[in-house]
Amino acid sequence: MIHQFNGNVWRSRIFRTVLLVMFGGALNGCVESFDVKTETFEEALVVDATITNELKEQEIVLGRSFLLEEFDFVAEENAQVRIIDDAQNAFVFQETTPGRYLSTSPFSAQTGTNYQLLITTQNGREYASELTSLPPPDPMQNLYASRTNGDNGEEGIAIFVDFNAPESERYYRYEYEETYKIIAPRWTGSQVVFITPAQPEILPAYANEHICYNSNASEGIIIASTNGPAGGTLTRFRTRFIDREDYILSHRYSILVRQHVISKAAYSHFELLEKFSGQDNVLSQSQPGFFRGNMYSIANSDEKVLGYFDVSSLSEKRIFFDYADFFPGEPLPPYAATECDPFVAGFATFPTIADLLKDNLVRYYSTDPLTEDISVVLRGCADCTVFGDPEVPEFWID
Amino acid sequence: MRWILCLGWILGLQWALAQEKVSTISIAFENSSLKEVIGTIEEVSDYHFFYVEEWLGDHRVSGSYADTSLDLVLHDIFERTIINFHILPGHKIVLTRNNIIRSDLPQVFYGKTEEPALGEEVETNPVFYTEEYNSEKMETVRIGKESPNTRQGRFTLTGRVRNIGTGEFVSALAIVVKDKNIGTATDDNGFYKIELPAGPNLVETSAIGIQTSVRRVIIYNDGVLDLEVRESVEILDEVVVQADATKNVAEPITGVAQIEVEKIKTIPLVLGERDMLKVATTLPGITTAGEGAAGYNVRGGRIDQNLILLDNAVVYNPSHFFGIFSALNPFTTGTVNIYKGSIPVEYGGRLSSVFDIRTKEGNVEEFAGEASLGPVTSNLSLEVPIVKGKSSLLMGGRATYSQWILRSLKEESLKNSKASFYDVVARYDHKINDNNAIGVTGYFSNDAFNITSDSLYSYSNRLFSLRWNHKFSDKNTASLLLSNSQYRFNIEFDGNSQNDFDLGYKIDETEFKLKMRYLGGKGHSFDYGLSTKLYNVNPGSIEPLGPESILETRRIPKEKGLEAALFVSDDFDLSEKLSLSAGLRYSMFAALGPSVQRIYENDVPKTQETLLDTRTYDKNKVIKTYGGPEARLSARYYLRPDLSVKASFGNTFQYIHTLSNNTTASPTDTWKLSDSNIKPQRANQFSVGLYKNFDDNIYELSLESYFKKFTDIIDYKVGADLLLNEDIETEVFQGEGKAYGIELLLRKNRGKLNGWLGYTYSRSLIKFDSGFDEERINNGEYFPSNFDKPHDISLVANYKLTKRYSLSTNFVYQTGRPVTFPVGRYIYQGQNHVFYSERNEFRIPDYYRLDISINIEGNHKIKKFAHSFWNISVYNVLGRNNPYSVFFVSENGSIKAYKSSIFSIPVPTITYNFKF
Repeated sequence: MIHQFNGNVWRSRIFRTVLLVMFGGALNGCVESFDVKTETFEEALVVDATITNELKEQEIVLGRSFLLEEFDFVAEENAQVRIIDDAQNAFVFQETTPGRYLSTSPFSAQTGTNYQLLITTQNGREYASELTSLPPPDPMQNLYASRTNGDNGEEGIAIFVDFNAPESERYYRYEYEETYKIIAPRWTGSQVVFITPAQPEILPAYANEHICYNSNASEGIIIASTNGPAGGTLTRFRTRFIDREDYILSHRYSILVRQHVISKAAYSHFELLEKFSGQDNVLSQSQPGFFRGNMYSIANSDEKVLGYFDVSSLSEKRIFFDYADFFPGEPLPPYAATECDPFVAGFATFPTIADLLKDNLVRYYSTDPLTEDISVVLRGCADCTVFGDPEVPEFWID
Repeated sequence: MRWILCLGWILGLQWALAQEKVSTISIAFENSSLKEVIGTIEEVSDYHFFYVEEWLGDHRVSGSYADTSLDLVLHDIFERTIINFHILPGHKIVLTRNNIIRSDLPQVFYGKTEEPALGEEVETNPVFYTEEYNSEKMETVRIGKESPNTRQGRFTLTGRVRNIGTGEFVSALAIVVKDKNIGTATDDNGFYKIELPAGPNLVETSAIGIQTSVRRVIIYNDGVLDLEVRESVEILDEVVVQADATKNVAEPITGVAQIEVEKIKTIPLVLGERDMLKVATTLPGITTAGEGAAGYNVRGGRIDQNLILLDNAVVYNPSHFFGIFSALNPFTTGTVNIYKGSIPVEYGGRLSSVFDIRTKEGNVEEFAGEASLGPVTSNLSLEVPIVKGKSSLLMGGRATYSQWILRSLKEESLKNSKASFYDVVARYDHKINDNNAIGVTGYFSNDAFNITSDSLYSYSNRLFSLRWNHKFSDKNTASLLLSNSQYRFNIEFDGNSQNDFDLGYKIDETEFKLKMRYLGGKGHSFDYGLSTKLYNVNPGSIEPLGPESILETRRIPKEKGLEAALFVSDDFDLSEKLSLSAGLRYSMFAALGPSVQRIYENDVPKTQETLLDTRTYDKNKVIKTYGGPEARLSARYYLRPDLSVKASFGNTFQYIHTLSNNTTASPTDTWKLSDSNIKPQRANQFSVGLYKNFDDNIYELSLESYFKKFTDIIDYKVGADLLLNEDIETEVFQGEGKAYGIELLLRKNRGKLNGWLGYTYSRSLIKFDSGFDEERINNGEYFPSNFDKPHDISLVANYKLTKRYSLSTNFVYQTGRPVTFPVGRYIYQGQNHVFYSERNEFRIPDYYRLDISINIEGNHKIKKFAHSFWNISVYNVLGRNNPYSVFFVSENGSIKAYKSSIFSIPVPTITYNFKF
């Protein structure tokens, strides 16, 4: 089933329906948020482990559950972590930063082999995963961008993947990393230096504040399967949608999409995770409950263990495109900083231009040839490092 | 002033028993009011009238008399009114309403001479005396002469009953001796025969459309008493059918609740919608998962375990707007009988209850109607006689104007939205002759929503039923019933996106039923018959909408099934005290092809991995059959004449199941037939109770306890996708349940203050155990179901302030329902998630609510065009914010908790009803 089509699509519509009607006053019911408090906290080990067929130092993250009213990651430190395969080869993991364990040597998952993750926590409890094997590799077919409409009818660019599974059932999980070029619109390459308040001098500066790059990693769960209405082939599976008003599209954009071929069990697990983090219907709440992944406690089978040990075949593709490729001659999206009009600043204004410069809030923009008034702009408008990094990424192709 | 005079005069009256000679008068009048005529008579004669002006109403009369006895003139004038006259010595004429002041005993007395015992042959209550039998008098008659030789305990009273208004003899009139559990009914020709214990008896007569009246009959010997009864004079007022005052104690079955729709009209309303089923939830043992939740939980059963029938045809979803309103028109509905304990043998196929909802029979005599205006809907019902006295058509329709409300809102996003519902019902009855009557009912209800511009969501119920009642003889009768019901829902999503779709579901069933009754000797009453029902389920299809859509058409294959049953039962008295009702029903179900059935390994969870084979069945080939005997046994034993103990046992099978993984019902829950992978659900119920009536059956007290065991009830894996799932059995598992409880109900049926108070302690627990983790919930232990609410108190009270004004109130308290709460949070793959407790480990806060309403009856002028009724209600007077559900949403990486409530502040409503 294509992941966007599950009950939640229409269920969330119904939800909105009712919600709106109620807010609208036709009924005076209400939905109000309240502060979450954990009634009875349950502590559990959280396993975030995906090993792939890529030869590298594989990474496993171990954490613990925390109170509902808290936010921060709680690491599970000093655990003994290892993966064993059918042939009793053991791949040992070492903690590098709290909760983050890297394999002591690079390895890759092989087809036809079963892997088991074994963990002994510092309090001596032992956990194991079910035997998990690598799904057959299935390289990504086609990755492309296309001008289209989003879920709410807004225009933008979608990043699509095509896949064509020879067998009827395939399950995929996607991750992406997007990188985009930022050009500061009010960058001048000059700075103003005051020898005395009456004697401003304009000097070249800030060469590295003109063009920057920034990257974001995907958030949330993006899964797809060929076991759905579209059968064994899936064209135009949308991994990402960017509103055309989003400044990240402004100049040049690149996205690296990683495709994990995952097992059906892993897919089901991700599907549930997604389901229980989505919106719900006010009038008929879908039955929540605890669901386990493939990790269990060896001593006590009733103990709750969260997370999943996944073995996946990885393939990836990167594409680049310019805004003008899809919107030729059309105005650029608004820049990241919204207020970019230059304004006059001097020693009579408050705060004074010296204070503004000292606090790194503005950049020099221009000098009026008649009045000699100096105009500045807010820093973000002339300094791209507010939003990115001036260093060109290694993979970048202009 | 005149009535005060009248009052004083009557109080001090010494009755003279001989009627004086009446003079003659000459008078003519044309279309005059009664008052004018009376004035004229007073002018032309020396007679003087005493009456209450109000009683005369707008009635107009015409006539011309020359030298006619005043007696006759008055008779003609008042013939078509409810006024009686009595000419007293001194040229005084007293007008009374309803009452006949008799100066002598009726001529009908059986030749015997009646000896006035204390010179008080006629007892009257002052005409203005208002109480339960208001505007009635209590007449005392003595039958027979006491013979010193008679030692007999019982005497036979026979007679014939005539309707004073029409002169016709009245059939099917109930004649009941109060407090004595003796009763009979008149036959087709109005004759009756009843055995009365020697001495005084309060004999009550009642029938539909007939005023209930009570006479004190002191019987000394066998005798004859012909009775005269009146039509319910105020046809405008509710007809309270006192069908059988002692039913509570006398009936040999347990767990029955009856709602007479007319009686609930004063109960406070939410948004003006009178709702029988909502009233049902104030009775013990019937609850909903929450305010505004669709579906009913009866004695710990799931909502799909109720057989909801409208004139014998199944209503799959009797609710509008997600359950906030009921989909049954209150104006066309007559009674609702809910069987939650002993289910009559003719019904089956659901585990927990039968809601037997009957529409009213239309008025065969004259055109009548009723309409209401409320803030959400308007409602109109009409009763049209087609062939006078023989056939009538009843029609009712209700529609919401929420569409208009939405459009008038300022909020832009709501302006273009749609939320509407309507329902229509029609019933036609035709009495062909004394032995044959046919009736037809049709019903349709529809809900549609379109609030976001891209989705349209709708559901509808449609049903049709045909019945033919035939009388072979006085002892043998039969009913032939044919019904068809359909429920469907549809979701259209058109957001100009690649996921646009059109999704539909439909279930259709057709039932044929023949039921026969044979009244055997010695009090045996046999009911027997057979029924068969054919199901056609179209579990759904999804189709891409528009060229953009990437979805492909998918259809889940249709399902077909045949349910059949044979049944027989006998109600009889073993002794004066012990009465039994014994029934047996054999039901069976066959899942029919065409179908492809998947065969899985035995005793392991059904998954793709354990799928062994698929087997194809041709059209109408039997895939799998299930069936078994169902016992329906109950007994009543009188401990005292007004105190009985009852016990019952019954078992039931259910071959059709709703698939729902929501905590409460949703209109998109689908129904699934049993097949080779899903077994029927079964239940056994034992109940026992004590029943007592007090004070002339004014108070009824019942205390009932039950234990119910469920087998093979259905539950789902967490997060199961049930819609459009071809191998649904891989998401479903079957387990067991038990429910038990004790229900206490005190009812006061009549009087200025009436209503009921109920308290229920009940539990509903379920258990899903398996050797496999994925089919086990809460480690295989019993845990509370979603509707387990141990304590439940309901009070419904109505206080008549005056004849026109009354005050009503509801109070409800319930333990909060169980919920599954998040117990912690964790970060996985960079995202925040919550994880949940074991199923139903917590409860939402307790629920309570108080509603108040004031009801104002329009004045009771008889010939006024319309009779009006105002209801001013305040729902949730205390403004209690009762949580309906609590849920958690991940938003931008953080978890937000929400609680929803339906009516969190007091909701005032004014509704206007009128009858014409």
